[in-house]
Amino acid sequence: MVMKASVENKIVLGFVASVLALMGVGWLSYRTTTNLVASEQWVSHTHEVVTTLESGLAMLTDVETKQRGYLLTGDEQFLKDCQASQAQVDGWLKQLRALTTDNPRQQQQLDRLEPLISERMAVLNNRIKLRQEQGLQAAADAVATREGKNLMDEIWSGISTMRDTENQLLFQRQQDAQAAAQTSLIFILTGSALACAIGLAAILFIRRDLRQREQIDMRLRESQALIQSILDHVPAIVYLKDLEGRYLFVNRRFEQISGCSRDEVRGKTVFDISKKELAQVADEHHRKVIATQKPVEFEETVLYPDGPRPHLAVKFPLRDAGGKIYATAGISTDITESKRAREELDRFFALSLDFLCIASADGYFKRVSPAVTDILGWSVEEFLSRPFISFVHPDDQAATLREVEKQIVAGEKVLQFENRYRHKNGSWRVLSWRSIPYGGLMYATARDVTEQKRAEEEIIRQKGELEATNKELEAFSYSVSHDLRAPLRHIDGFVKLIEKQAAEKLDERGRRYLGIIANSARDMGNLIDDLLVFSRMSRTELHRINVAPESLVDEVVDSLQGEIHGRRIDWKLGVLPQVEADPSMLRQVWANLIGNAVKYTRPREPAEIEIGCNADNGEFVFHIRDNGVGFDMQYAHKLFGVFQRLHRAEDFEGTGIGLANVQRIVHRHGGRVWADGKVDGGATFFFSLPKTKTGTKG
Amino acid sequence: MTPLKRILLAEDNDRDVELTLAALEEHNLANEVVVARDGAEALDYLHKRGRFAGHANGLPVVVLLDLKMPKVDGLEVLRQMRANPDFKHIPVVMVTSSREEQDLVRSYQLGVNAYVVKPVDFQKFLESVKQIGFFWAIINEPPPGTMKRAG
Repeated sequence: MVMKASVENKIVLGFVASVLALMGVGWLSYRTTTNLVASEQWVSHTHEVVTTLESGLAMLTDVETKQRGYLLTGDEQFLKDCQASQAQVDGWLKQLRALTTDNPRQQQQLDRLEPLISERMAVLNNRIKLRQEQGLQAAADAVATREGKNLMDEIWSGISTMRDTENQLLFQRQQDAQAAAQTSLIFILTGSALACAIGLAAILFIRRDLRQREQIDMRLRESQALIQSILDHVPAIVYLKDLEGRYLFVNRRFEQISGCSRDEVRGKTVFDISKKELAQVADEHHRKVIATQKPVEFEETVLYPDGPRPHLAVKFPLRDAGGKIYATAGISTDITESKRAREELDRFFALSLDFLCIASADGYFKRVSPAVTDILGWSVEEFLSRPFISFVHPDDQAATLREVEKQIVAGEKVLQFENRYRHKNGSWRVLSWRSIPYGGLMYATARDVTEQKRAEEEIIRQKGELEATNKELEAFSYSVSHDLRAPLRHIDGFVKLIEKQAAEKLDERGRRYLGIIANSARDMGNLIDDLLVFSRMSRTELHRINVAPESLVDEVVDSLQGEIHGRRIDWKLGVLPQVEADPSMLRQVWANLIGNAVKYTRPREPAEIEIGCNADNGEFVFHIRDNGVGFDMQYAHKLFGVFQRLHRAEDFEGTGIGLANVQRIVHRHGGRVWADGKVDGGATFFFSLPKTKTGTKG
Repeated sequence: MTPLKRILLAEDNDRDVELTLAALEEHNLANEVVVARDGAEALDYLHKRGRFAGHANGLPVVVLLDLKMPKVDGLEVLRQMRANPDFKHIPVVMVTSSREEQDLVRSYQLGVNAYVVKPVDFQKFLESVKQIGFFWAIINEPPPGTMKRAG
């Protein structure tokens, strides 16, 4: 704007200067011309004066000539003519005075000339009188005095002086006029050149200015096109209205939704293209913007071809360079989706079993879901009306404030925090919190874990009891292990000592009895050992590592060499996969199963024992098949029970604990055991282990 | 000449003592055994105090400890021995009825030299005790300050 103004100023200044120069040139021209005209007049005036002066000489000569004629001839005609010429001389003098009134010098000379002429006329008239009265001689004598001739010479010289003066004046005037004309010419030329230069500069300025304007116009058009292009691709409805509410511009989105092109819409009002009640609302906002001169934001309904949709609109005034409002603009965004999403969230918010809340750093809840009433008894209003800390158990307040501070100050999430809140009925409820800070607020969910806590405490208590029981059991087992076996050992020991030192004093029966006592003691020892193992398998912790069952099987088979010795057994050992298990326990499993297979195939020659594994549904299923005495499937359910035996001890020794052990160990590893068999048809025992560790602990 | 008592047996049970001695007799080691009836007596013997004040025997070449004894149990005796610079090198063998893992672990943590479970079967027991006596009292070269086998 500043530049433009200065350019304009320059142009105006240039024009003014150029006009002034032209005016000066004109004025100078005018004056020069006037001078020239005046000078011409003066020349002709001078000529007239000179001519008049010369005609005066002729007249005077003529008067003298006529007078002389009269004097010589006395002819009256000459006298008359002389007198007429004298009258002309008077007229001539008058004329001359009139002609030279502007020139005081000529007038002075004329003042001197007039008396001379009058005197001459008087001399002439005297001679005439002499001729008339005294005759020719008297007149001739008078002429001979040469009085008249001297006068005449003075007159001649006076007239000549006047003529010279006039000519001199003329010359002077002509020179002045010429000089003035020359000066004027210089001024005119300079002025014209200046005017031309200024005019040229002005033209250049104007042309440059016009070019700049063109460029600005072009850029303006480009930026308008850019704005329009942007507005056309904005997913919102955009429109401009003049103060009377007539559309000036609408974007493409507007066109699509209204079904009218921008050319159709231009000049129309919202009443022309929308429903009356919607148009009235829009119009009110339009007026409000103009009245308040401030933007307004509001929700409105926009009519789409498929029905009305909620929009968030902002309308704001547009001002011209002078700050005056000339139009309003509106931007209206479809919020159907966000509104729906919000409503969905609101539904979940209202539905949640946990209570959801937003808390502010000022210590109050800003919003809380209705679940708070179910959990704490307070209405939402009651809950919002008091600082939240006032609901917290006094012992938990410090910790609660620390958590709040952590969020507000450090911006940390709180993933697990528990405190007690007062129920409206006066009881305390344990709430488990999860909270994140955002924008100075805390967004939190609170779960009522009172019952859960109670249950947990109960479980902990029961676990404690169980542990105590286990401890007792352990102590009991320890005693059994140590104390119960001691007497057995003593029985056996002393029986052996008797056998050794006093056998010869006993008869056959006595020796047999001693044998029975020793066997009973040994059986009871085995029983106690098996029971202890069983108990230990239940109590000791599992230490799972990767185990190769093949090596366990090999170890077990090696350890059975004493029993296998002298027998023919066909072993079929398949490939066994690695499993995650407690190696000592898994070894116990194989020891029991392989031991059984060896034991119950004792009557077979050869015995066949096959060990293998199949992968199935996330678990490994191991099996051990033998061609031994088998069992009756109707008692299969008893196989894995403690002290349950399907064979008599006389046939096959055993305590009835081995398979119970197997079952317990496999169960603890998260697997299953089962068996298949037939009397005298062999038996197959299966057990499964999960491929990944999912077994129960403890 | 009274043979030197080179084996200390700490065992509260008479019958076990008798059976153990019977077993050691097989190697003619029974006479070299001094019996403490509980842990406190075993420590008294080592420190030559109480009932054993002023005994002329030197330090035993091996101590056989029962685990479970009145007053001071076997583990405590072991602990005190290992904490005492005079006794810390004496070989100690736990001879016990307990197969409990925790006893085993605890014993080895305290620095036991061997851990033997008394079998119920006397024949096996006999073998075990014979082997213990044979190894520790005859085969093994005891640390300096203990008594070597006479002759």
